[in-house]
Amino acid sequence: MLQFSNQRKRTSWTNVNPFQISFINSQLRTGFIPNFHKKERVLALAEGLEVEVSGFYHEILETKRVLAELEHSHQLLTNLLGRTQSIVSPIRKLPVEILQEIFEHYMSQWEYSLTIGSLSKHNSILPITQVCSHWRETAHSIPGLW
Amino acid sequence: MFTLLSEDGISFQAERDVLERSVLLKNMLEDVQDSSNSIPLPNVASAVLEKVLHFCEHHRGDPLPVPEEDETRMRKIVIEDWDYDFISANCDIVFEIIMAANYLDIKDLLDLGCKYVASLIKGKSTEQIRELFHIVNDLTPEEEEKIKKENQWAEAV
Repeated sequence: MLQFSNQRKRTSWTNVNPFQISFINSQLRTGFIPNFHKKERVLALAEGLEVEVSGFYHEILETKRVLAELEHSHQLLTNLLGRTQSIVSPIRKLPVEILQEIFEHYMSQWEYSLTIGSLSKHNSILPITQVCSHWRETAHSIPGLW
Repeated sequence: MFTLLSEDGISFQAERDVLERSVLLKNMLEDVQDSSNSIPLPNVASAVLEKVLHFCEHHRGDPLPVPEEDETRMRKIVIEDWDYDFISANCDIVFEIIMAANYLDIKDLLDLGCKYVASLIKGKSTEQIRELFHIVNDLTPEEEEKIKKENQWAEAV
């Protein structure tokens, strides 16, 4: 099972003091030019933010890696589930001659419903020849179907 | 009355004309004069045998399909209302019913099951058929390539 050991617990999107955020936002649309001391404080704030942004970036990369692993595992398990279910699928028990009979009935139904401009006999049989190797061999073994 | 014993040990009683819908049982009954012995059916579960006998009871007295009419039988695509209701009500065990009909040699029930499954397939895409019957695509890359060419050819027609 995948662990999320690197994940930080967040209570807020930043560690920056709300008053500092409010100060930056309020000065943007003014002609404010910081003096030396204020400039130092703003630069220090920007430095802290850079560290936070970088931290987020690495956390996003790690989360994407974990997500890709989860999706890969999910896909592998889904495929395995499908193969497992197919082993006990009731249709698997049918002998070839019964499957052939089902295919012949299937084609009879098509032949009765075919009209000019609709699917040809060949086209209507294509879906059943593409299901799996057993169905393909069975369909190809019926001469009347082709 | 004769007694049938399912593979899970449940007994069912039925009259001769009901059982004679099955060619296998008809042949067996010709040799059995004493109806006190039960007939074991090791390949048919009780849940399925019950449905099979229900079908046979409904159709008792109907003319049995004759082998020469096989081609006609195949072409007759209409399913009678009672038969359709019967098979669709038991769609969860339709393959077991087909297998039992095959084993017991009950032609009209086998025919009904096959027609019903054919009707389920009709109009569905390959992927929908796989999903419906839990079939996994096990085609090789070479077969997939052939299929691709078949599809291209079909589209061009």
